[in-house]
Amino acid sequence: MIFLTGFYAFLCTIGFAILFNIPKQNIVPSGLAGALGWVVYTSAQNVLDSIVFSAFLGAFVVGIVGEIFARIYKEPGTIFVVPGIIPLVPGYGLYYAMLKSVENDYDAAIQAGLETFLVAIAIASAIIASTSIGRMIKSGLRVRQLKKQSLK
Amino acid sequence: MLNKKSVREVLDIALYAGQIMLESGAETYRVEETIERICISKGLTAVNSFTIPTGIFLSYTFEDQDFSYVRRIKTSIIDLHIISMVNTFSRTYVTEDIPFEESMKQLKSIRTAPHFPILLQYVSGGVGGGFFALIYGGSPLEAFLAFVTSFFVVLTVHQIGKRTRAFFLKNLGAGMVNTVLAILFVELCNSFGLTADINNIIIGSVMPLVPGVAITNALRDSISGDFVSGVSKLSEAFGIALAIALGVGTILHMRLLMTGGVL
Repeated sequence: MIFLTGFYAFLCTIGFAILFNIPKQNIVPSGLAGALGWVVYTSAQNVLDSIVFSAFLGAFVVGIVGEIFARIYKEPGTIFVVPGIIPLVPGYGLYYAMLKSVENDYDAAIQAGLETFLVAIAIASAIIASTSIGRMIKSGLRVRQLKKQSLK
Repeated sequence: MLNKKSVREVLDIALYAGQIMLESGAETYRVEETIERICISKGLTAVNSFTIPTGIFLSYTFEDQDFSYVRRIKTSIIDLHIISMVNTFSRTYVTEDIPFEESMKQLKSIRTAPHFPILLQYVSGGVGGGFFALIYGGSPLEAFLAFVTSFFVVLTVHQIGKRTRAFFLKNLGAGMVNTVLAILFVELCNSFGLTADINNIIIGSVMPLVPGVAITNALRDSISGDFVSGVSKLSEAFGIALAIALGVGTILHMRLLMTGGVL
């Protein structure tokens, strides 16, 4: 079941990737990043019962996978991360909050709005965390390479 | 050796590359880094660039004179292909010696690079919206209706976007189209004895519009210390969300008035 929804998330991500005009050879990898992130997000939600923390974990996986693909395909990580977070992104919450405030239901609006905000912060900080780790590894490798060269 | 003309040329390239990236929705730090990398690679020092979503500011010192540029940026859409191409361009530009005219030509061709065929964009918008409805608990029928609705939502955004740059108008229009179609489909389903939840259709088909990525990018900027960009992107996201909600809300209210039913 979870792999079926993972496949749906894969296609969902690809649809948005094309809408964002992604380079052709990166369509499938970005879909994979989105699918993996979604599978982690839903599994975490079953175990943890916290949308915000699950979104953090899901987005972190998207970020890490994005960094790996970035090295393989020699592209900036953003190319994979922007479509990859689409299934997690709290677009619906944002829309719902706005709709409720149009309908004068301020309690529901604030509840949905706050949750949206927290999920967005979770995703943003997860992406930053994974990107920084990617950069640390990259600069670590470079230092090691330079040391090797200087020893020769 | 650097002279006044060659310095000017390097800055033109840097600024133009930064402008194209920013117009394609690249992160603030990436734009600033690209500009600074290009300038430093050609031996310029004391280069400062300050980037916000609506403009690039650049200043430098050469032969004891201060120079500065301001470039106003208008449109902002997400175009990953262009970001990728400018990234590759800046990598080769800093390592190789490409003459000014050649580089400018390359950047201009990047800016006008072809997109996916327009019909494919509509269809993939539909696919994205349809499967989004599916993963958030919609039935296959609702997902299919969300697919059709998203198709027309992306079409509306594109058609209005061609005629005006006002983001408010195009999101308002697309939100209205979205809701009208969703209501029609639900009524149609009801008359055939099928059940479809209007909310699931709207969730999926509103996704190509909602600024979820914009709000996440805004917070990313804020957390990494680009506070002005963060706030500016956040207010853009808020404006878009407001426009969509207004479009959807108006139609739902009209339906309520006409039928007297419950939402």
